[in-house]
Amino acid sequence: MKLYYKLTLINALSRIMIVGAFLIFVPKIIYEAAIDHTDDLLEKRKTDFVHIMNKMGINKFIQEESDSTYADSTYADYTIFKEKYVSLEPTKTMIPDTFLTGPRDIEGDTVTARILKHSFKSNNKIYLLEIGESVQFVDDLKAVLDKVALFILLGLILITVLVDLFVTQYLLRPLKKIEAKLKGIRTPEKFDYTLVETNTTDFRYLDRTIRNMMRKIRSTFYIEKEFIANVSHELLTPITILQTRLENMLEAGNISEDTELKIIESQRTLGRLKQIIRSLLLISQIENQQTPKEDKVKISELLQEVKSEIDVRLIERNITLDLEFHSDFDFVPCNRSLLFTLFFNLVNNAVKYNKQNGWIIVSTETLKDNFLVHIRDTGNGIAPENLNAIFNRFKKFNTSQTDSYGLGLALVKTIADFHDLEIKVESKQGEGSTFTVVFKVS
Amino acid sequence: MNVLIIEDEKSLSKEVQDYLKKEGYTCEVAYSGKEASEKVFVNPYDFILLDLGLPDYEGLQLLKEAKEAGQEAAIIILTARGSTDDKVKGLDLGADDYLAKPFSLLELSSRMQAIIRRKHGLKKNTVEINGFQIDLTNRSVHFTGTLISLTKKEFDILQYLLINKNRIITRMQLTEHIWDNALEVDYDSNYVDVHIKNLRKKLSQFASVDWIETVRGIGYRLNLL
Repeated sequence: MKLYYKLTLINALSRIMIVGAFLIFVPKIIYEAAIDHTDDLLEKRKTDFVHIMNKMGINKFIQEESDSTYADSTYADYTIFKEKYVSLEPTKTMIPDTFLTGPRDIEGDTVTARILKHSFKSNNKIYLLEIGESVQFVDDLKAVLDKVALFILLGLILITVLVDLFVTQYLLRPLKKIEAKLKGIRTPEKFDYTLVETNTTDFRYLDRTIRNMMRKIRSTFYIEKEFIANVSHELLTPITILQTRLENMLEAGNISEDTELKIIESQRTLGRLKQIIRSLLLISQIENQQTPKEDKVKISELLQEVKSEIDVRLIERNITLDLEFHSDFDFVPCNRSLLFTLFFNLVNNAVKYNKQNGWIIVSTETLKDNFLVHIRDTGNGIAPENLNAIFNRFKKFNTSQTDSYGLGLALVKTIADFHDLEIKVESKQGEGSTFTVVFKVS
Repeated sequence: MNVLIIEDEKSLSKEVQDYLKKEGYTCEVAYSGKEASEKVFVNPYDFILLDLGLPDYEGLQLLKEAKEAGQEAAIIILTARGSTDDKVKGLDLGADDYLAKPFSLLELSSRMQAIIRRKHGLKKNTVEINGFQIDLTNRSVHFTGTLISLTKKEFDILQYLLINKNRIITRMQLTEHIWDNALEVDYDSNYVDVHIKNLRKKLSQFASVDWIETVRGIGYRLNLL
């Protein structure tokens, strides 16, 4: 997951959590506060009421009729909207002052009220004083909060998340640019060495570090390539001298047959040396982008050409080479001769490491956005532990073959990289290998 | 035929000289660009073999000078640089051919012969052997009017043997000629033999091909009187 999305997601989640907590706790806090406040109020009213009663006498509120029924000996009073009330009645036992919340019937209406119960003695009688205050508004407030606040808060979350998205995107823009610079870079030559503009020190550090590392890699590459090119050139002249001298020795004709054969052997050895140096030179040229890329090639035609070139190599061990074109592709721009070398080497390897009466199937297909060329053989296969190293220079695993110098596949890889092609290898020892060249169609 | 060999590497210069002398050429050598520049200005040559990698001179500059001096010599560039860029530049400046080091002397003399044939406008570029008409210009072989279809490699081999007739051509030399630029040449294998076998098979349907001789262990020779 991208950092950008992660940041936004975390921000959104934390906000939802805060809002959730708010929705859960705030009504409770409000409720507690309202109750506390109401209790204070009730306490004060009780004191006031007791004070008035003491002054005026209880008889002012309750008619004292001896042994009369309780009904008449009750006093009650309430405001017009029934949000406050006071009641006084005789009772039998004394109780400590208690607060409670509960529904109260007042003249037929049920109201949630906070009530203070207070009992006191007067004229040897026990009275119970109840002072009530409607707390309906607390319930109402809760309901309103539940409804309105939810929407408002959700809206707020949405807005802040959008703002977040925008801000993080803005803040992370340098990172995105650095990422874009790294994307699709195969050689340090192609890297964009201009620094990304940013005042975020972390990004600046990252960008500079990557740039410095790229420079280091580039110079190492360059030194290595130059070394190979120079060495190869230095070697070519002495080889030419040797080759021409051997030719002259043969031409002289005054040598024994034995010597003649030795000279021919030496020519072959020299030929191998030439081939190694030429391959190394070509690899370094391709890596230095000194080879043009201006051709258009029809892959089926190219493979046909490879086949006709290879055919002569099949006869000795009776190997069958089949072409199966299920699809075709015009590759442009490319370097025709390099591409030929790529396929020639792959097919030639399939011949070289094949068995008597073996098969090679070269097939093409289009799969999604890719054009694929498979080269399947019935050869010895490659050991799994060697699969990763087969494209390395001078790696040779099948030691029974003497005419391979381990540069064929290295060259294939270099040419593939030059053309942005991918090469996949599947192999089962003793059964054969399949090399797949992947072209991006777009 | 006068040949100027411009090559700073003395041993190589000597080998080329030895070979060409035996072929009947008259050779002069220049070991430096300065020396070559003077010679090119004074003497007329038929061939100039020019090494591009001279320590004291830009090889392509020498090529220009030779052309400006009115040299009518055919110029063959010999170079270890081998980049296609140089090749194109050289040919643009009027070089007749281009050989990358390391080259074979046989290849060099074959190229020189090809230039001679081209320059002196040998109109009749058809050779007749035992009833086979080999047309080097159109790259075709006929037998009393019937076209014999040969592959490119088979014709290349026949032509190379023909140009260097009555001389043993080693497998190695043939291989290098027909797979000039191929990098994956198996020097120990005998693909040339397969081509020769096919060539013989195709030709022998019409007439005897005993003039293509296999020299055991070495190579092939085209025997013509």
